[in-house]
Amino acid sequence: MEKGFLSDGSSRVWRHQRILWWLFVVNLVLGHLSIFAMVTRWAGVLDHSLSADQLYHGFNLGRYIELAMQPGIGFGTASPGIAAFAIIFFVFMLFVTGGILEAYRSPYKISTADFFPASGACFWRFVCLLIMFVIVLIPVAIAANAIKDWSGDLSTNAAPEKLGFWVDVAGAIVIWFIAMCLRLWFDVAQVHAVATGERAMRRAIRRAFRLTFGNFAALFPLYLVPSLMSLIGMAVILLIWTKVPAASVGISFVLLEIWMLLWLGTRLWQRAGETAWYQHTQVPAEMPAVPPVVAGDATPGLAVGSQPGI
Amino acid sequence: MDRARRWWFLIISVLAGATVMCAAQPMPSATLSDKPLSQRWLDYNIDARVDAQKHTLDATEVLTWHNFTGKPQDTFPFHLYLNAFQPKSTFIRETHLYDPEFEWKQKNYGAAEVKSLEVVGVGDLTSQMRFISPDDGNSDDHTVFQVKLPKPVPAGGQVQFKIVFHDQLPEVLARTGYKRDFIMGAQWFPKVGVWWQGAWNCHQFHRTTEFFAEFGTFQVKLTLPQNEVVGASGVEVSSANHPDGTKTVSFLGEDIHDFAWTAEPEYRVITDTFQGSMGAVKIRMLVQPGHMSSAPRYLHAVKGTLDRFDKWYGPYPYKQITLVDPPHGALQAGGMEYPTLFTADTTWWCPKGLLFPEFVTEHEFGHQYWYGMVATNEFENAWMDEGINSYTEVKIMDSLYGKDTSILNLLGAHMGEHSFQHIEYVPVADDDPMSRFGWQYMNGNSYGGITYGKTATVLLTLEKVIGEQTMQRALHTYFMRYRFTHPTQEDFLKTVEEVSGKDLRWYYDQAVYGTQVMDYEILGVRAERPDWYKENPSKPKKGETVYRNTVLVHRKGDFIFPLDVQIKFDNGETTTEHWDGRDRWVRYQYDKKARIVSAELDPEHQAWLDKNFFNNSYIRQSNQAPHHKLAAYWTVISQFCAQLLAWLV
Repeated sequence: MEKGFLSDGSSRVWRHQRILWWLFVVNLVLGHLSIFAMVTRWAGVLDHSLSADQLYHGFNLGRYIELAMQPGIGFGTASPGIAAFAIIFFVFMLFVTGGILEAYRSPYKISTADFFPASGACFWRFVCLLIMFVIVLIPVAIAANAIKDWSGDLSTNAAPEKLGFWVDVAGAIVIWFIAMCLRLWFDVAQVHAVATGERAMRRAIRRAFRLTFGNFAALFPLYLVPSLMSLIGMAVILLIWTKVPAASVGISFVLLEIWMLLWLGTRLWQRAGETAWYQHTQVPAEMPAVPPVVAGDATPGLAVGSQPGI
Repeated sequence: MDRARRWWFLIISVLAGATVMCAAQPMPSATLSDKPLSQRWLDYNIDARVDAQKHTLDATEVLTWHNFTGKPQDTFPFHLYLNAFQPKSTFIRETHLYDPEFEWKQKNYGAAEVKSLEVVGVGDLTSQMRFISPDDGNSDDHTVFQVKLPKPVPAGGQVQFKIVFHDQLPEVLARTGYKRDFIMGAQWFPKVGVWWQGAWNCHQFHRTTEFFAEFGTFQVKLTLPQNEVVGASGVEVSSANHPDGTKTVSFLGEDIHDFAWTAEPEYRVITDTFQGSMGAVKIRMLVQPGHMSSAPRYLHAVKGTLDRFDKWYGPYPYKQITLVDPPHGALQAGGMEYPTLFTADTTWWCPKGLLFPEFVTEHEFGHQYWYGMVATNEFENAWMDEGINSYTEVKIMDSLYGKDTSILNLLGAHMGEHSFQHIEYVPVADDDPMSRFGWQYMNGNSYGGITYGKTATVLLTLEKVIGEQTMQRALHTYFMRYRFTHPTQEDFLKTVEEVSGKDLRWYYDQAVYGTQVMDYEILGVRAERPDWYKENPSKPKKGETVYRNTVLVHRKGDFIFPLDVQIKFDNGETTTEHWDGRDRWVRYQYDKKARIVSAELDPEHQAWLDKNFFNNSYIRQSNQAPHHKLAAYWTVISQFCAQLLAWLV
């Protein structure tokens, strides 16, 4: 059954692949904009310098560190831009998630005119869910920190040298598992909120808790499998990347962007799979999906064919 | 035979037999030389009992000091380095000054307590001991004490001190102490100061200083549990088990100025031999069970380093070298040198492309020469051991592991020793002069960056002035002339001038005694037609149109250094100008039927002291590929961070 939902989820992502491409483009553009100021400074130092070749053919780490030690070019200078654009992307994703879930719920292609209102309708509800998710994560973060301190202490003081390392590994697996379960719970809460139009998020969370942990065996693979696929895909891509000549920047860039696309795609696959499961198991409580626009329909704001598909 | 003759026969037979027996058993020796290598001022005879559970040590030290000063001496300063590990000591005070986050922990407490001090033939002088603080007046610092004898020791005479002391070893904070069942016994015995430059030299122990001591012999007996695997300076002479579960291991060190030891039950012992020019040197490695994968790396580094030092600078004259691999959690004991013994450093996960075990091994072995045999004053001239050693580290690591890969060669990234030293130096380039006393640097970063990185970079740049081979000859001469003595910084600098035949004072005044920073740049290159003012100039034709090419070179820093400027043209021509570097700028102009392609300062890349290599060249046509590459990777990093944050949604 889970394979069916996984397959259903992937076909929904494929059917609405414009969502994936749009997210990817926004991610890429914001990523590039975040380092624009740094690029200008690098160009000022490197474009006319023979020393720059040591960063292009091969990668002389010492030369790169010397570049980063120059005033205005250090790692600390790049951080604010990266952080700012990461937050913008984060807010963007918070906004469009409602529309994405609505799109995956619908058997039809959802138009822009419906996508963004659906996104807007869910935005503040998802902000509430985000706040509650962060609260729920706090003890996990505290536990993760405690494990890190413990493993550090073991690495220094325990007689077996690798004990701290194995505690780190075991702790990371446990924390990752807990984080995945919590994420799944709140994913289902979002799916439920979109499907039923639920406005009270605490009720949505309680309902989602019962659904998630009452059907854990069915739901968890819908989250885990795409996660594993993204990790395996990342490992394969990075392995290929290490074989690419240092000066083949274009090929390297394409490979790494495939990795970024893969990560976005697997995340959407999780959302689509969860939506598929919800639709098949909780149909009576669901609101109807947005119907396609029919020619001559007097519904205001809708027009045939002129609205670009999302 | 009558009775008298029978007795004489018996006596002669016994004497002959004894002589044969003595001849059959050679006297133990710790060096490959059949005569003393140094003026042996000191004979240390130490009998110590180690309590491995309590991390304490009780010992009796008989120190014979020979007065080679040429004048009577009645006052003797001693180091008690272990007393540095106390909260009010100068060492801890300075540690907190450099790092306000530093927390004092009681487990780091260490102490060396003199129970009694007797001068043989004079009597008990325990009550005459006085702690002194010659450097900073800190009366709470007990790392130096002084004792005055009622009668001076005449020139050419000797005095014998008998000192009973008790050590409390700290949990390793810096170099010495214990961690679990590992013990590093360093700076553990009362050590008399050095008579140097006509006076006693015996500084307090500071956060950024090391040690200074006189040459002599060491006969040390360590009594500890039988399950301990022991290593020490010198050579092991004997080992005897006792019924109480302990054993006494005896060591002999000759022509050395310090004695360190280590013990741990878990050590794995690996031995090998290096055939040096003076004879076979035994290599004894004490390796942690979890670090056995690093053992071949250690061995390769030790043997390669022994080989290069032997060929380039001079022979290693001791019978043994001991490498100690500290356990995890005791890395503060790692990367340290003692005569004929040094501590290395590694981790269980250290990949082959990260040459950390190798460069630590090379560096610490190098100290056998620059510190161990050429025993400079590490308090006052720290650059002379750390810096010269860092320079020879560059040469030897490059020779063994490749110029651009001698530090890192992993996943497409690489870094060589030259870069490594340069990176150490640049952030602190004008903080302090090399010649500053070790404890008077601005902070620990400056001390490290200047004594190691800047000195190595200064000597690498000096190769440009006198030549690489001349530099090697100078170091060889310096080593052979000053080994087993305590040279000053001028001794070294003058040796280099002597061997090179050049007056280098202009260089030393800036590089060693000054804080001038070298930074030359090509400000720009231009290629324009002389008829630029015409409204409709004729179309340019390659190889026929004349261009006015200019190169503007600027001295940005205040260090004056002569440099070559190499200019390349698009017709394949290359011109090299030599600039004395004295003025603030110079402009070169060429009218040619060709356009300039690039200009480069120091085309052979030997002026490592230059703070910024990126501005040392200028290409007329910009090449955006390198910055596009950085942009591509940083874009992906930014995207990754954004997606990571978006997981919260």
